[in-house]
Parts: sequence; structure tokens; C-alpha cells
Amino acid sequence: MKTKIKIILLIFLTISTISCVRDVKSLKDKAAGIFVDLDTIKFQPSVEDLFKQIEIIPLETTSESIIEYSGSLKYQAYNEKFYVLSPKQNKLIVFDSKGNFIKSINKTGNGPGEYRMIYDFEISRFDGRLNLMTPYGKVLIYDSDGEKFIESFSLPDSIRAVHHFKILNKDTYVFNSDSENIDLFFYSKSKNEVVSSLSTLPNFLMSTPFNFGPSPFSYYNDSLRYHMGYDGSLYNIDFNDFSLNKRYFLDFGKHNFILSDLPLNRSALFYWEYSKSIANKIATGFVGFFETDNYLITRFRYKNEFYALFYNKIDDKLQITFKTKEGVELMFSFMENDIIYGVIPAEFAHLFVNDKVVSVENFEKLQKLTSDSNLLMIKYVLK
Amino acid sequence: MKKILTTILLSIIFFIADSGSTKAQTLPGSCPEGMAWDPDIFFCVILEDPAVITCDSGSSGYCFELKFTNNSNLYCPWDCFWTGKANDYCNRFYAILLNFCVSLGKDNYEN
Repeated sequence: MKTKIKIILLIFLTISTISCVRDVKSLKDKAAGIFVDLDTIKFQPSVEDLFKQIEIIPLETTSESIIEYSGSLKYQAYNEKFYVLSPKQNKLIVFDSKGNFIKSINKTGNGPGEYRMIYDFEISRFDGRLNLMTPYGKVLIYDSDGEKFIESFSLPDSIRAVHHFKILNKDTYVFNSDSENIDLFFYSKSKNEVVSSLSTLPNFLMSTPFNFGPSPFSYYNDSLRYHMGYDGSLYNIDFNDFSLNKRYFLDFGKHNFILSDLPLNRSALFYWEYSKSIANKIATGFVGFFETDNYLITRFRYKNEFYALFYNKIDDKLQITFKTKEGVELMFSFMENDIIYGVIPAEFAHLFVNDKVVSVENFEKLQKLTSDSNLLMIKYVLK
Repeated sequence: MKKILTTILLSIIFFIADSGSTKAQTLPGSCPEGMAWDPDIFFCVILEDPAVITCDSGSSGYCFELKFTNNSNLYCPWDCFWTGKANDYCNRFYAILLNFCVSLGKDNYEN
């Protein structure tokens, strides 16, 4: 009897080990490269191939809720509400899940709990508190309604500017700077110090069209991912030793962006012109990565257009599109609970939504929009 | 005509932007306060001791840098961003002009 149990246990252990080895091998394979052949891939999947449903959510237009569209807007969906941070307007604007305006939070000033500029925010998934970040390295923490100021902390003066942040746990925050040589900082609130820092990008690359995403961070379940934007690498941030480990690499072969090919230390305008000169050959300017259990999704610039890439993690299938079969482009701005939201100015709605991809009811909502309407959210429910 | 106008405007802007190592970006005759146009290097130079420059409190000026921010092909990719470095200067008017040129010249770089 004991022998039988031993044999069963042995078989079970062997199967488990093989399974684990396969998983590790699979991870290593994906970090080594998911080959994307831009020369042969089918470029026009149907919306039905990618999404269960597309809906539109027009954000209410009032004098207080109107949002100036720019590439620096930040978003979060939390507790059935949409939060949109507009650095240009110095305020956080809150809508309900149907796009009705709830309130705006504007703490401009020089007193406690006030700021002169604001570049990023996050409602903590640990305690529900609203965190607002100034570009000069101060984080102001309020209650979940953003009404009551609770506390603040500042990064050391040696860090002159930060542009993005995420909350790793109740104590640790990670900051990214688009202008400092050391561009990734891990800060402990309890120790009141930077506990680790990394240099991930050459300074000259930070203001160029090769690295211009609204944020280098993205969540996948409890993991935090980081991307640099110029190529298809996606890293996982290790919360224990604050290191970056490559999790995926989208390998475009001869169309890969090679950092060492880039002329050094020129102006932002030079790199903009340069990006246009290589646009037909190189896939670069990766804007956001969105990861679910089934998909890895990103947008990148190629041939002066933005292409959306869908990598199915289960069957390794790749789909890439500039425009779907139905003739719409795809815009991805943020993701919450495996639903991706795209945010666009209403006047460009016709490029992203038409009667072939939304319900009659949704299309009627679309037809009521004018060029003076507030921003439009497009809700993509993944398959 | 539109293409010619755009090309001329963009050429002027790029020449100015690339002609010096300083990051102060401006147009002839429109130097910010504390700077003067130097025709020899075709750029604005700082009149006072750079050490006395303090950061501007608005959304552009000293301690700001021109940055490409676009995540779509819609419009307005250029903007001024805080760097905290007193040597950096970003002129909001310049960013607006640049966005205007990008919008006008869009057909120049399409496929």
C-alpha cells in the first residue's frame, strides 16, 4: 500500500515539476521575444475578433467638467467612478460610470494640502485614499472623497522633477522622472527616504517621440509593470529588491528600434524629424501596455500611424491593426478590471466609432455630440 | 501653397531649435525676460548670472522643457513640462506655434 502511495506521489511530483519547468520556460521564451512579423501579418481583424462589446460614454459637458485634451491627462476608474486628472487645468475631475459630472477637485494654493502644479494621481488600492503628486516631488494624501487633507511627504531636494508614480504597498511608492538621469525612485514613507533608485533611460531620450507615453507603469493583478516606450520590452518591478525583470519582449526583427543607432544628445525637434525619417521601417513609441490573464495589448507607432497589437497569451496568436475591418481606429488610455477605456475629443469620434461597432442606442448618443462636447470615453470589453 | 508655408515655418523653427546647445527655445526678437537675441549664434543668451535664475511658477518658462507628449495622431503633441532645472526654458507660445505647424503640415509626413 505504502509503495503504491509513494508511486502516486512520485508521479504527481514529476507532473508538477514538468508543469513548473514549462511555465518557467514559457516565461523565459516570452522575455526572449514574441516575434512580430510586420511584413506578413494580417492587419485588419474585425472588432468581433477582439472585443465582446464596444460602448461609448460621453462625459458630461459643463463649464466645470470640460477637459482640455492633451497627452498628459491621467485616468483611473475606481468605485464606479471615472477620475480624470488634467495637469493643464490643475484639477481632478470626477464622473460617474455613465459620464455624469460629479465634482472637480482643485487644491491650487500655497497652504497645507495645496499645490501649485499637479502631474499625477492615484486612489490607493490599499486604503482608498486619494494621492496627488506634484512634479517637484511632493505627494499630498486626502480621504477617498478628496475633501479632507490627511498628510504629505516630499522626495529629497536632489530629485528636481518627477512625472509619474504608483503605490507599491502601504509604505512604498515608485516614482518616474522624465528629466532626471536616475529616473526610477523607490520611496519608503516610514523610513522617509529613497530606498532604491535605477537609471533606465538615457536622459536625451526622455522628451523624444520614442518615449512619450502618458505613464511607464501598468498594473497586472498585484504586479506592477514598467516600459520604456522606445521598444517592445515590458518589465516586471520586483517589490523585494526593486529590480526590473524583463517579462515580455515584442520582437519586430528588422523593424526593431535599436537605441545605439540613435544620434546622441540632439534637440527634441531633431528627434521628431528623425522619427519621421525612420517611420516606415521601425516600430517604436509604445504607448501603454495593458495585460490581462488572456492578453497583452499595446499601441505603437509605425508608418506614422498608431497600430494596436493584441497578443493572446493562451494560444500565442497575434493580431495587429491600424483600422479594423469596420473602419475604426482603436484608442487605449487606461484599463480597469480587464476593461480598456479610450479617451478622445468628441470631434474625432468618427475616427474611432461608427454604426458598425456600437449599438443603435450608443450611435444615437454619438450623433448628439458636437465639437464643443466634452471628451468621449470608449469602453472596450475584451473577449 | 499650404505645404510650402508649412515647410518654411517648420524649417525656421528647426533651425532655431538646433542651432545652439542651450535649451532656450524662442524666435528672433521674442527672447524671454532676462535674455537677449545674439545674432552670432542665432539664439537667445542669458544676460544675467545664470545662478540668479529661479523657476517660473506657471506652466512654462524657466525650469520647463519642451516635450513631445502625443499618444495619438489627433493634435497638440508639444507641451512644456517641469524639469526643475534652472537652465531649462520652454516658451508656451513656441509650443503652441509648433503644434500649429504640426497640424498644418500633417499631410507632409503621412504615408
